[in-house]
Amino acid sequence: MNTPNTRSGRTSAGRMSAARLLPTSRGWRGVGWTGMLAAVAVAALLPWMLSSYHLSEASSVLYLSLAVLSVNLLTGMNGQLSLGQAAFVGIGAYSVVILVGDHGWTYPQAMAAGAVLAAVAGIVVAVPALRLRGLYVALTTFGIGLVFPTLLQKFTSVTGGSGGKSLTLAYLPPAGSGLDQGQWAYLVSLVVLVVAMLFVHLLKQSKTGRAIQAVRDNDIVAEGFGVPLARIKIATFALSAALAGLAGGLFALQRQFVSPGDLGLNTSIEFFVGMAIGGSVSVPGAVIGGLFLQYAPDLTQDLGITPIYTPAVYGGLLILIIIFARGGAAGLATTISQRLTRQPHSPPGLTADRPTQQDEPYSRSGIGREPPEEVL
Amino acid sequence: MELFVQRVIDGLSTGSIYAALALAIVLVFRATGTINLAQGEMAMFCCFIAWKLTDIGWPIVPAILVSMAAGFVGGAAIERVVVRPVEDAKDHLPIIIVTLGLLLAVDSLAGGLFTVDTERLDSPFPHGSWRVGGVHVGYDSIGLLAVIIVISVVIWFVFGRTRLGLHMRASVDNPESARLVGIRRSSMLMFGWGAAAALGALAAALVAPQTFVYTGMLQGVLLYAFAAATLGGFDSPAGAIVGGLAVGVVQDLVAGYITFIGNELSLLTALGIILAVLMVRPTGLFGRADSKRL
Repeated sequence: MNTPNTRSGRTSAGRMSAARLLPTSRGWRGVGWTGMLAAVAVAALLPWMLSSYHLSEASSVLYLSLAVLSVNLLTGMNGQLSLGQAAFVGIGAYSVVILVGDHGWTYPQAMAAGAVLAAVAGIVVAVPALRLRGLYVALTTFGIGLVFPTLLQKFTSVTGGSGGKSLTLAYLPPAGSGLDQGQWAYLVSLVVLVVAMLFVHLLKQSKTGRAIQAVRDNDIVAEGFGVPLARIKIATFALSAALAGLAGGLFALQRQFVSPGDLGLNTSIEFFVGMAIGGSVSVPGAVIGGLFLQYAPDLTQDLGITPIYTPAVYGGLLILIIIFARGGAAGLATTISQRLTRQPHSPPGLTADRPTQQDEPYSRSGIGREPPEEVL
Repeated sequence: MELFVQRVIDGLSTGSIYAALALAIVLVFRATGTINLAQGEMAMFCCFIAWKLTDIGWPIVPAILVSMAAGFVGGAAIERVVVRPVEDAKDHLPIIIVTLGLLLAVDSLAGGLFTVDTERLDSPFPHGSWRVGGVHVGYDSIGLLAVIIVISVVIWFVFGRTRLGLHMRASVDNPESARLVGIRRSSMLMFGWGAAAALGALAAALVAPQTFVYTGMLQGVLLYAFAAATLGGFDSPAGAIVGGLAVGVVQDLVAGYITFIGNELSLLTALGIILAVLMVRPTGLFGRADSKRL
């Protein structure tokens, strides 16, 4: 394997600049992959390095990262807004607790079923909105986010109602592995997360992935180029709901308990904050978002902020990021790498790639072509 | 039959609250072209101001008026400070995410600055009811309907008969030409957000005797208001009022006659209305054809 430096030497040969000493953007990708592999290797060793308490915190990071990844895929890559993501997480978690606890399913079966159920629920609620352009899906998912807890109350005999439902049967580690339950839960979560991240990464690079992002950037042009708009949006929504359901499955696997209190509107918005912190289109950014959501409450408390104001800090950060740093942490990393290599390429972000209004080909004076979409 | 009439009347009175909040949503939509997901939380915050004032001995009506004034100033300030920097004619996603941040922040600030407990706010209307045949019409129902009629007349007058309303409509319908004739679009946007927040504060104070005052008091009501705005059409003030009343009646009838739904699952009605409107007539009853571009 080439080291990043020799690769950059080859690609920018002949150009005399300080950039020569640093990797080019292609080289950075090599650095990125090496870094990711190293991070996964370190993460895989954590069960033997951390106390069981700290390991359970690290496990939470994994399920939170997967939930943030589901928002990345939907909002960051596809430009849709789901306010019911916590409900999809809940569907996954309740599926595991109910199917394993009351119906004797195995954990992997129940987790798969939870992901499928979340996707189906997502499609049922989202399809009427997804046929239309714009943000109607925000409304319907806001609805499902509010209705889901009332459904849990209604079917208390199955779901345990507002007190929540616990699961006595843990996912036992394979005999002879020498792992305890916490270590096994962590390792399973890690594998699920890494596979999901790899999947989303490959999807993003694929033709379908470009179609998904084209719908976000300009749905009219995308449709003109033959992208089946509704199908892409519905498929992305279903996939995102499935990832959220899988995150819920991990939650149930780790805690063996789920209650409606953890699944409100605020939780859905917190996943957004995680996405914005990590970078809305960045796959590794999802882990940064997960780390933030797990450790930020402790951090703000250390700073002397009463826990009741923690959501205010989240909300303020979300607003500041959207105003000042659309790309989040990953965007900042890209900007820095660009500064170092002086290779301008557009940073990721919700709208970063769009031309400014002045550059647009139509005339703003009302003479000539009309803008394709005007403010109401 | 009497029960049916009773339910329709009760529905109309809850519907007037949905109508007021839906009108707030429509005002923001007409100004900025997107929805403010924090509309309910902003109204809840204003309602806490009204509660605080009554708590220190103010009568209820001045307290509500002050909370509406605070809403107007706060709404205009929020538009100027956090919404304006991300305003983009092409892309409403950043604005809507900013309103999500506002939702979290306002919710947590209300809990921290006021209280996380559930408080009681008196109704501005007298107790008792008026009997017609076997039907009770509460004075509060009459009061709520009267308030929504007054609001409708004021909105109609301001939008249809004043210079301010003309400027607002102009800067929304054709921002370029409006700017050329010297209309300050930025003042119009601030005015739209401020008026919306004041209306929201009024809706919150009116619903508070039923829901009580707590940080989550308007989450469900906001969903009904969204259903009302979807039904009426997001850009139509008249639609918001008709939609609000209709949603209120449908909610009461569904809760009354379909025992499975009852009161526990009544939010399902709101979601059902939104889904049905999106499938059958996405523009809503009174929306313009292009208003489906929410």
